[in-house]
Amino acid sequence: MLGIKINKRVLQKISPIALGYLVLGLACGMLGQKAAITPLEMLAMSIFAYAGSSQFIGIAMILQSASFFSIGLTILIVNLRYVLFSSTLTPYFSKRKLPFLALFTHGITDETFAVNLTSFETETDPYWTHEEALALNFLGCVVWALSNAFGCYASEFISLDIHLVSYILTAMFLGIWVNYLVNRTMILVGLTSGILAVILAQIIPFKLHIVISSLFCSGLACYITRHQKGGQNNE
Amino acid sequence: MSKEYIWSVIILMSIVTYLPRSLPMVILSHYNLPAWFTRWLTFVPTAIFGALVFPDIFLTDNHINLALNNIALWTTVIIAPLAFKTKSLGYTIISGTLVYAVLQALV
Repeated sequence: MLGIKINKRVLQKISPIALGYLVLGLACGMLGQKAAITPLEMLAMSIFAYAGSSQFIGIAMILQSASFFSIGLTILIVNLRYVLFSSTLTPYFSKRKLPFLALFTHGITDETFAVNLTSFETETDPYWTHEEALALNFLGCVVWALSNAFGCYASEFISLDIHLVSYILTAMFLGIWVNYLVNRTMILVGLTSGILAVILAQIIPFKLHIVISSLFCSGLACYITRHQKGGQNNE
Repeated sequence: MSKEYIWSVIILMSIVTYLPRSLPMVILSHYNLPAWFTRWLTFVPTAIFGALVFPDIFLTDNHINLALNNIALWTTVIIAPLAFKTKSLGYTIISGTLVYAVLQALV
């Protein structure tokens, strides 16, 4: 029932993500070492929390000895976009039972969400299966956790440019984003949300601009297209 | 930093990342989603990734930066046609890393 299936197309789809996770994970682990976190703790954090920006923020807050309340609230807010990801994937999992959903949803990240959604939409011969989707999440988590632990362990011996590392994350977001820019409506919604986010980021704390901007722009697009069929297919 | 503090933070982080991921699907999968809701969801990814990319490339220290020293912006301008054309995550990451490193060496 909790099947997992690793095959050629799963490996093909995970490899660019794995490449990004490897570099980001090394950087995150190195940051963890600076906060006196051990490789074992880094491994546990990366397996159970399994989140990029949340871990960077969490480690930075550990360095400041922040309170549990402020750490929990900040990371919860940064992760609000997962609510949207999880909702978006729901139609593809309508018949699955709780244990599978409980396990699968743990592996939803920006990257695995995007690749799974695209695969469910476009892979038809044969269809993208739940087992392959779970495998993608699982492999992403393995690469992320191992590179975090290794980065923490080997932080004395490797050096990464922090600006380059943070741009690799941006490039991952860009590489995902372009897959959704399939028609004029989608491009317009994306650009509007981007511009609004740039404005909001300067006045709203806790990285809330991401969720507010995307909720507003996707909601507006949904309202404007309410008399059209489909919504994403109108050219 | 005490071990108890770090392990407590790890547990806390795991909870506040797991709940937003799991609860929507676990709850919503029991219902037939209304048409407007699924139509709204089709616009969510493009809006979210736009909101993730733009602040990353236009803001430096939370201020708009269009100067030449904003390497993230100019790297993105250079690789955007390739990213848009190929729609490939791998090519985007690799070309972005290379172009960023080159610009970093030049600027």
